[in-house]
Amino acid sequence: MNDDPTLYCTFEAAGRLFGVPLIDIKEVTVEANCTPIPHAPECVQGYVNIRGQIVLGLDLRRLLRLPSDDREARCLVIMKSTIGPAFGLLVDEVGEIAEVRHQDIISDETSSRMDLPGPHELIQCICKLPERLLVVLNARKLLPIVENELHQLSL
Amino acid sequence: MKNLNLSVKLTFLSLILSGFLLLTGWIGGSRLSLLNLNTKELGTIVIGRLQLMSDIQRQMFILNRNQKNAVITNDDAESLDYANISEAAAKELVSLVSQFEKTASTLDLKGKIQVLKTQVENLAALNTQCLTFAKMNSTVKARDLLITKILPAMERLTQLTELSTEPLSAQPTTTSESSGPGALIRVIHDASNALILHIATRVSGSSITSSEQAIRQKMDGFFLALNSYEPSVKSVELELRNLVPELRRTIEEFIVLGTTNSNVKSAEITLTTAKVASDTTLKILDEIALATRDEAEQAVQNSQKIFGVGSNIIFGTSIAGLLIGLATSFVISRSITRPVSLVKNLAKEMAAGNLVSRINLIQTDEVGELAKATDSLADALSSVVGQIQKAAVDLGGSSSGLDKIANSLIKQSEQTSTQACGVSTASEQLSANINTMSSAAEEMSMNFASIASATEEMSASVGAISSAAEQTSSNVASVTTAIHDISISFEQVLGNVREGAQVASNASQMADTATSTMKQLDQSSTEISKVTETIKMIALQTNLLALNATIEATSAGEAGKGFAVVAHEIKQLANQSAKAAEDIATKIESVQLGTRQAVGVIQDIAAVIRDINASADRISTSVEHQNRAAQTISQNISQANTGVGQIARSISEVAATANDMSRSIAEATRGATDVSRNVGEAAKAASGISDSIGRVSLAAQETNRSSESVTTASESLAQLSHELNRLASRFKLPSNGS
Repeated sequence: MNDDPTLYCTFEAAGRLFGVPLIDIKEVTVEANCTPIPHAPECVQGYVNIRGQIVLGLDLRRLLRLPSDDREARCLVIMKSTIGPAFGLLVDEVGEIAEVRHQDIISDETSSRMDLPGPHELIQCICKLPERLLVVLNARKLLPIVENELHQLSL
Repeated sequence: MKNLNLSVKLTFLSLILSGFLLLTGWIGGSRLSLLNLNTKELGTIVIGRLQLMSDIQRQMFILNRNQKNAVITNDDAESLDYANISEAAAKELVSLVSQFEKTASTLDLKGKIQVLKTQVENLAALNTQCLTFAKMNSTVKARDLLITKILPAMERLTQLTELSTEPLSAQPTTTSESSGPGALIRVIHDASNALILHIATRVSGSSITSSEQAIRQKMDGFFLALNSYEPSVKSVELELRNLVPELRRTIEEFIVLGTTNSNVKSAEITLTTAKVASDTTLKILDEIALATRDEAEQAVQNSQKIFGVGSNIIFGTSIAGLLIGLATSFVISRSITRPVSLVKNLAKEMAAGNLVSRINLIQTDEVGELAKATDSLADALSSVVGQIQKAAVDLGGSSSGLDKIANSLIKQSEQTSTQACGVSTASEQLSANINTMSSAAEEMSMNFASIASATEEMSASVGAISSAAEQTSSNVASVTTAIHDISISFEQVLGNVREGAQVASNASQMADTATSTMKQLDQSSTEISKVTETIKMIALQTNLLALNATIEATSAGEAGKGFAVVAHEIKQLANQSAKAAEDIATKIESVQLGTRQAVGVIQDIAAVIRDINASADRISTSVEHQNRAAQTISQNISQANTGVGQIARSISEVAATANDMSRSIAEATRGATDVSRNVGEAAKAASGISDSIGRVSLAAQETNRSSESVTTASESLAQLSHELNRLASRFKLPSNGS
């Protein structure tokens, strides 16, 4: 087995710790001004202009149906274009880069993910960090949720 | 020099040192070669000369020995051999000396060798002469001739003579005395003796010429005698005829040889002139040896001098190189250590809180950049601390002003209290007087009753009444005076209270100033908070930048690993900055809390001052009220006075008109009743004054208490400001400030 630790970019939303594999992330920015899109689902905050590139900003709290408070999301985690259409996750705060060894990764088959809202395919795996658990999201499954909601809206 | 890089400095230093090393080596080498040359020259010359000299001495020795041998030996062949050796030695000697002449270096030596040469040539000439004689060997030959030939011939002659005389023995000769054989034998004996003597004289070396003459005569005589002899025997005669010419030739030869006397001459030459010549030569050789020794000594001294000079030059060059190297290294190390120690001191001073000093080093190498960076750090720190300090100083000033005001308020209030006490005393005196008056009025009333009951006794009692009335009058006057005093005291109280109000309003103003200063401080703190927020923001952004850098590094794969480490470091730095900003924010919050507490305290003080102001107003009001009451009392008293005057008048009327007594007494009674009522009123007024004064005193005490609480508040404010100042003054700031 490969001994090199897997790197995850961690971020917080509604006080919970989430992560995305570092190789899926293009960049992380702060203070993203969203231009709202009319008739968009609730989780779509709007378009964000990142140095001329237009990126769809998704609110992670609303996307995951997490309790939402008055605080505005401060950071934007932009995914690589290899994932699909350019989009970014609006999160409360960006955390450290977690280095997770293979033995600390609990595969999605064995983990209990019933306590997490949203479609289960969203969760790629769960990692044991020294102090807490890290829920690794499957970035490829995020946009389908939006599409699903759009579909529901159109009905 | 100062602005060169460290490596350049060190290279410069090593170049200096190696240059001096090379210089020293070169000088040492050249000096050593010079010394070597000198020594070699000295050795060659001296050894060559000594060799020559020893050769000369050896040749001289050979010459002399062979010369002596040639002289001593008797054998002709041997003598010739010795002579040849001696001649060869003489030739060798001459050639050696001429060779020696070539080696002469100095003029003095050349002269000496010249002398030596002449001496040696002289010696050689003498040698030749001596050898010539020695080769002849004439004396020895003569002696041999004498022994081998002449003496046997003489013996034979004697025998022959004896033989010839034998036949004649029969006839004893008559002529025997003169011409007989006996005479001939005597002649022969004489001749042989003369010859032996001659050779003996030669050997002994005495005068030659005289004896030669004598022996020739003697021999002539001998041969004459021999020729004249005619032997009687025929055989003898024949033999004689053969023998005599032979003998004559031999003797002639002997005489010639004996006269030549070469052995003696050669011995003479050997022992005298040749010896002198060789001695002289040896002496000159000694002198030359001495001179050579001197020369060698001089050469030794010369090489010592060369060695000394060379070693001095080497030593001097080494010392100079060492000194220059030391100086250069000192300068270089100083250019490094001095700024570093300056930076260290500055950092220490900054740690101790002194932000005044700067390094201000004008140096562009690595150390200079370090010093500049430290200076800018101190600048940044001092500007932040300076703002805090200024605010703290402002607060301290406000607090001390407040304190001053509170103190003056206390003083005023104490004065008020004193005045109130004075008023109280006066009021009590008034009360006492009024009581006295009351008792007097009662007495008067009693007197009136006794007047009413016993009019006859009135006449006698009038004096007493009159005196009582006069006493009343005087009492009333003193009451008036007391009332007047009270009035003045009230005025003073009023003035003091107004002054107190003024002071209180000043204090209020000061409190307002303190509050505004505090608000300014609060504003500064808020601004600092804003700056801290900005720092936090920057830290967050840096953090994000580091995160993005890590993401990029991860995308780069294996090539980006090093960069990922750098990004991690940046991230840590950003976290530290955020933490530091958080610390600053916490500290600023505590400062703000302190400031707000101070504002609260100041507002408390302001409230207290307002209380003081209100109580001063109340005091003012009550004092005015009292003043009015006192005026009323005064009016009443003057009415009483009028009544008393009426009493006096009535009494005098009683005294004057005893008949109108009844009416007068009624009037007097009315007057007395009036007096009594007035006195009651006066007593009431006085007690009112007393009450008012009590209130004044109370108010003054309240003022005092308020002032004390002001003082306490201002003390706590001062303490707060002191604390703030102490915190800020841990840092010393540059005098020009920022």
